[in-house]
Amino acid sequence: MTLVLDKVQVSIEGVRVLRGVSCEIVERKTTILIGRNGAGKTTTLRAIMGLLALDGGDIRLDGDDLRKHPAHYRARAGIGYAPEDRRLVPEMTIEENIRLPGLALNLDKGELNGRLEEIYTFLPQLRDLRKRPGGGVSGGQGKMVALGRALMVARKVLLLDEPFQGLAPALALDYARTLGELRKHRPELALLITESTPALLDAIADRTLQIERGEISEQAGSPRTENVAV
Amino acid sequence: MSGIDVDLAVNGLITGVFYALMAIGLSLIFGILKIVNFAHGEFYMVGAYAYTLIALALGVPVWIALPLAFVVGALLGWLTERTLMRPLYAGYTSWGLMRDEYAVIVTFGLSLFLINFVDKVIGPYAYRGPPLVETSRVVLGPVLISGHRLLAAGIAIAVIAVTAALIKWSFWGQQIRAVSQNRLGASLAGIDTAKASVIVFMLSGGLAAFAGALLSPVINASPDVGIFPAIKSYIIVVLGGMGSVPGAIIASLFLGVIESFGAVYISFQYRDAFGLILLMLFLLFRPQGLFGEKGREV
Ligand SMILES: Nc1ncnc2c1ncn2[C@@H]1O[C@H](COP(=O)(O)OP(=O)(O)OP(=O)(O)O)[C@@H](O)[C@H]1O
Ligand SMILES: [Mg+2]
Repeated sequence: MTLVLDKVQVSIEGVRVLRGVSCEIVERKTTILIGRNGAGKTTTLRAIMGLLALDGGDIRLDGDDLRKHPAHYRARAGIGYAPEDRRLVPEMTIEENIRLPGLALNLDKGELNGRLEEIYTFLPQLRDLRKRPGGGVSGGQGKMVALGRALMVARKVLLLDEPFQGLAPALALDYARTLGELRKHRPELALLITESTPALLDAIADRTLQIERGEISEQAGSPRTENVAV
Repeated sequence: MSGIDVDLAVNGLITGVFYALMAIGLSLIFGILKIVNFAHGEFYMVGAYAYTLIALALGVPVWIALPLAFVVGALLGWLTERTLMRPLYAGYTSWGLMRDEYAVIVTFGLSLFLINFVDKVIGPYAYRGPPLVETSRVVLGPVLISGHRLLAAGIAIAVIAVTAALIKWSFWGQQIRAVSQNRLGASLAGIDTAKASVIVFMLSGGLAAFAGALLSPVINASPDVGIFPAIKSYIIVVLGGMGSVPGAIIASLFLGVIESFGAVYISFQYRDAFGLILLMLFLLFRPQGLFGEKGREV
């Protein structure tokens, strides 16, 4: 499984934000996308999710041209995305929020409940929050919920946008531990995580990409291949 | 409560039930596209004509003409969404919405078009729809209601109950609520936001047309008959909290009762103004409405 970005160009409000972003996100690897504020990390993820129109370039999942499909197709194709601003449904409970993609994809009950249990095993905090409304959790808790929701569909690719931003140290540690667990339980998953401070993710990165002013380069010196724990 | 008060309360609630049929759809549209559909009253007008003409001109039994009016409204809603609403979000990616006057102008234009179209094609005269039953008056203790109105109210209550249940629990109902509350979040979760808005427009058009059909024996439909019910619906949607369906239902009943009492105890001539006064009071003191959220995005 490979998600390929090929010379992706995106403009926001008439300003070119991504100027030819190319990279490959591959299964069994954790790719970290590092970049300063405003470098284009969120824009890259949104482009993958079909939330922004491309000016040029291609995005393909195993040869399937994602440009041809509307945004909601990504969930069906097995791409989960936890946005930095969470985007929960405020008047649905946390559990309903997590189940929502399963509902939209029309998963059968057994499958849906199985995935939900799996998510609760990874993120036990969510089980305690499950009756709360989506609008009634803190920012950090909301990030966990967004991760849970993304996991409901992420059969192939999981995109996390600055998962640690704004998290208290304890919660950040929790989150990092969860990502480690996830790697063990779901080795096939391709993970793409953005961060503005590289140090946090060093331990789990297989590959580090650097994005600067809308262009990506492989970061020299840091690739630690084959450290995927099985 | 004296007998007349009971009568006023019951008749006010019945009026409110008909308001709710209209207001629910308007509220759903606001929820999903964050626009006010200024052609909503014309869906109602089209429903009244559809029912009346199908029943009288084609000689179709009223019990078939009534659901057909819903179908006509739903088709009109579908057409409106496909042709006029698409630009609101099509070029704006699947989660963003155009944020300018487009929706105001285009729905207002649709309203004028439909009024004039019906005026030219069918004529400016008022049409009276056939009642569902001939019973002229039903007396229930102190309450006096025409047979048609009582039956129509019963049907409206059933339709509202089914609609509310569908929105709360059905497959598409849950997805529509998710899109209304967080469009981008819903899209990430795999929900087809375009399909959700088509369904909302069909349901909304169908319900408004159904209201027009149910009331056609009493409103004497003319091309501009939708204007007042539409204004009432706008008031109700604000009172109930923009986008809230339970809020719209409760605000409808509330307005129906207020008008009913106000018409007797304050002034009959000003009965259509009470809603506007209520609207101003709400805008001053509780702008989020009865059930509205101050911020719906998380
Ligand atoms: N709504 C917008 N309107 C105008 N410009 C925008 C908008 N959103 C993003 N941009 C611009 O696009 C560029 C990339 O933004 P993006 O959000 O992708 O950065 P980022 O790397 O995710 O930054 P951060 O670390 O702050 O989240 C920035 O220069 C920003 O100014
Ligand atoms: Mg960002």
